[in-house]
Amino acid sequence: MNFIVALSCEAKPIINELRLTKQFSPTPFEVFRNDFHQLVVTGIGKVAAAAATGFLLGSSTRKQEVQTYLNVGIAGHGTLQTNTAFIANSISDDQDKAIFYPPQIIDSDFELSRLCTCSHPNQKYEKGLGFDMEAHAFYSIASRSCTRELIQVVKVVSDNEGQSFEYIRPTTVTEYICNHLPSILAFAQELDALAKEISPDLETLGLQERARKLHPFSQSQIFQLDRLINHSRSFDLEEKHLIELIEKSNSPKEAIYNLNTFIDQSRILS
Amino acid sequence: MIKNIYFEEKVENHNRAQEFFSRFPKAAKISCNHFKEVFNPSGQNFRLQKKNPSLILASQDGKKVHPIPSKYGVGGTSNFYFSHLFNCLYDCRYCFLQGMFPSAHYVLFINYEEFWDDIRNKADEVSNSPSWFFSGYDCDSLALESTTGFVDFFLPKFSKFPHAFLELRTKSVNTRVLKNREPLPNVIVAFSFTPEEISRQLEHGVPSVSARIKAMHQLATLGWYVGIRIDPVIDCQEFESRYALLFHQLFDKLPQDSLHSVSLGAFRMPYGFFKKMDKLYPEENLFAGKLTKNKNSVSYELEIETKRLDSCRSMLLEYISSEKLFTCEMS
Ligand code: SF4
Repeated sequence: MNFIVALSCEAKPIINELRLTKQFSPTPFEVFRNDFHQLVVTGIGKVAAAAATGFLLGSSTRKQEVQTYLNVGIAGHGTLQTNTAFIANSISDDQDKAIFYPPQIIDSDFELSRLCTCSHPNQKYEKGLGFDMEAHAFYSIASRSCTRELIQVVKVVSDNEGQSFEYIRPTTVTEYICNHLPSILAFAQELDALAKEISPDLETLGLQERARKLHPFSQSQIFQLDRLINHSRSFDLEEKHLIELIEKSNSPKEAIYNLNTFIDQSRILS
Repeated sequence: MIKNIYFEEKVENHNRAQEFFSRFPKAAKISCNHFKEVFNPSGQNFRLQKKNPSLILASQDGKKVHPIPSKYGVGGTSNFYFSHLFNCLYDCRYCFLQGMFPSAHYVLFINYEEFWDDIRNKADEVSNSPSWFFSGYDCDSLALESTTGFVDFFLPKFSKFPHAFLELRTKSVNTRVLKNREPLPNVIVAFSFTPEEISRQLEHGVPSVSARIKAMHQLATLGWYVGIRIDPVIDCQEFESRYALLFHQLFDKLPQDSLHSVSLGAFRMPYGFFKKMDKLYPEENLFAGKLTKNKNSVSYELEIETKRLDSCRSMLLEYISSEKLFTCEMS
């Protein structure tokens, strides 16, 4: 999971709970990692959020797997009480016509709400609407390279009509995020499980990698080879046989032919 | 359970939209200008969305009734389809919807009255011969009936329009809406089938073959015309014996005079759709079968396709006359 968080006080509970460690290689943003997660502290505002999301997209260490992105932070809201967590099911922007509708696949206990990303702190609390300063920019960048179901925004209400944002303290922000941390992390875990379901099978990728090294395959032959290996996995054909068959072939062309002939016998639904 | 209802601003006050809002009071309601803002963006994953689709309420403003390719039909010469709903409750792995639509959300066009106007106009245009209207092209006609009320709305209309025929194509056993009323001679309830073993592998969430046969027999006994759609024909091990058993189960006890038609359809789809489906389910055996690309379409290799269709045809002709048997080709 990739967490995108504007402020250190919002990030702190996640960093502590997941035992993320700060990366000291020179990076334009503060980045924290463990083996499965990374978190970037973006700073406030759309430009910072967009830049940090782009940075995180480019710096992923698990390129073969489908990635998930979660923007966590505080927001103002026109209806919800402070300390209420919600998922943004529509994200608009005060200066951009595009609206994002993150598809909601997971049944969580969070409230669902519309969210508007503003260029400046918002003082007018429109009914039913949340306000933040990053989500739209984050979504616009993340959705360019990741499937939309796996990009989500969770916000905790920090201010509303009755409680102005001017009085929010960093400790209160940390406390709000802490209060919802178990649900936020459970949600993140479910997103990761969904990602796993559509990630390429690592064993298949490994087998394709091994097979490619056995002959000097051309680019289009690699495409055919990968596809044949994929099919062989669909029909549960033995890996050992496939590799032997490719090894015994005298040329890349012959390897493709032999593999095809071998798999052909199985190409029927049981 | 629907958790999110998106709606086009222009339909917010439509009675049908209001009914939905009160029927799903806990669902979050999200407005949009046009359903395509939610449905069409690139970078959505149909497979993931299928786990929990949302509902989008919209109004179909453009053309609502479309002509159907000439080789598709069950006896009529003027054939049309209409889509009041995009997407389906079920999840058949061979379904072209997953290749055609960017999203698995249900889009329900709630301006039924305008659909009916267009259907009636089309039927009047060709009043010298009966016109056929196929629903269930982009969805299953009955599976979501308890939510959409679509059949409940259209049957009374068709009852007053005997020269217009309606085919409801379905894999659902949710036939209460039909059982509750007098059968109509111009409405055909067409059930689609593959053999049980194939259904179990490929038709996820679909009622069992035996449950569908039972539902079909019940409707036939009540006097409804039924159709049988063997579409798509799927190549499989023990093909002959599986299809032979299916046909036996289908026709055994089916009152012959209630059978309107049987149609056969090959597994065939545009290459672009196939590519997308294959990418969504790279582990799927069906897509690793003996398929071939011909021009812009993917189908079984010609020899297999011909052999399987011929074999089904000759088995079917043991039960029905050739006038009732049709071979449908979508492309
Ligand atoms: S029942 Fe029909 S529309 Fe529904 S998923 Fe299956 S093939 Fe597609």
